[in-house]
Amino acid sequence: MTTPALVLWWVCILLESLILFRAVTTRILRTYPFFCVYLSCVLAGDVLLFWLYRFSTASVYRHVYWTKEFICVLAGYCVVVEIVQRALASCEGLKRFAAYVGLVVFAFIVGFTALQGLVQRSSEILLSSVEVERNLRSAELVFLALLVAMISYYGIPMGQNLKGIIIGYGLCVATVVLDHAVQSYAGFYKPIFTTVLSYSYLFSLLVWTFCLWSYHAHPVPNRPTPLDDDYDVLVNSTREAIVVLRGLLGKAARS
Amino acid sequence: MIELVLFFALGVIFLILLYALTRRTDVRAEGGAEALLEARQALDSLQNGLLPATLVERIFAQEDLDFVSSSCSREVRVLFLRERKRMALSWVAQVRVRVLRLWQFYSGHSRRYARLDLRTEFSLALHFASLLIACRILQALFYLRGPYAAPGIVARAIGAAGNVCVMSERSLSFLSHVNAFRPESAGNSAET
Repeated sequence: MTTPALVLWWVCILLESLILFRAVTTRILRTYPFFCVYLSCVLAGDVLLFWLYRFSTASVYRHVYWTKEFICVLAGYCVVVEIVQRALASCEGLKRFAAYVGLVVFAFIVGFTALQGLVQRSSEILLSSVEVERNLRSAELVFLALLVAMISYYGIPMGQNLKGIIIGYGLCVATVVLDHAVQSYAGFYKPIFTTVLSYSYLFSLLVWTFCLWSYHAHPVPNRPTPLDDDYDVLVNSTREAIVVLRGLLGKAARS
Repeated sequence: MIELVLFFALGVIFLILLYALTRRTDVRAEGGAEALLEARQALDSLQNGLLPATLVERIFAQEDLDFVSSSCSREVRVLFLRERKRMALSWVAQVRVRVLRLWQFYSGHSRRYARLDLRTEFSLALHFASLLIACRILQALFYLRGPYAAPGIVARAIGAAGNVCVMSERSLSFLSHVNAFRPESAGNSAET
């Protein structure tokens, strides 16, 4: 490993420690416990891997690396659940939809991975750890993409902490998926993407350090949830208005 | 290779969405007074300012063109057409902005409902989007062919505009509670 890579490794460990220290000393730990657990897993994994890199064999290192990766994937799913809970706290309908979509996407990707594994086992080509992690991260990414799209479409307000978690974590997951996709199919570009992955993780850590330096409450409306019957009125009246407006413009466009 | 393209596309789409999230400025307070007033203003503007038949009739008035063509020089006619085109384009652009504002109000308002129906939401989003696309098509038509290129446009637009003014007041009744912020607007609505 080159000196810049080692320095990067240490900088990441220091930033992870700093973020966790700030989280413990502010209300962030209580508000985003799963995120703190996730970061703790990453930090513990990084320290352990660094020690193994210096004092152990390559096969042990590889084994621990993939174990750490899968623990982080599981912890990452908890972070996504936490993001949904916090971001959609005041939107019961959207939260229900997000839970439904999350289950469907997860079931689809796990089913796809299992099927792929079965098919490839029959043809004696085993599915690699990279491909399994890529598939699991892809499910996470699809779900996060839908969540970000929903937040943008409905203009849901977010606190700085939550926004930072989404941006930093989303960036991590997206680069892992891109990196693993390239590793599986275009090994030639692997060194370039591994460097990109390392620096993008550093960027994510910087985003987290900036956004999670102090506690910012997630804005929750103090207005009561409206009656469900009003939703029908809202939908029907909007739909009627759209038809009328489109009629005007449509006629103009056709003529 | 197809998988590589799919995963790559997924990653890139997500990064674009993430970038949009960092750049967004249109965070709407849930049912806040400002959002309600903006929506009311957009509706008022559509009803009283942009869609009334008299205004649309004026913008696309064929007799104006006939008068200029018959009694003015060619240069004046060219100038007249250029100005009318600008006016028509500005009219469509403003309609589009108001429709967009109503859409934002709707999405900001509907997210609070526990019984949110995603199929309905999706269908309404498509309707709003198609309305905005229609505005864009109209803009392109006016830009390329001018406001007088198609003779049928005026009569049809005026007829439909008249209907809009009557119906939008009724159909956008969900905004009626906004009148609480502006007592005088009840009078305006009655006159429309």
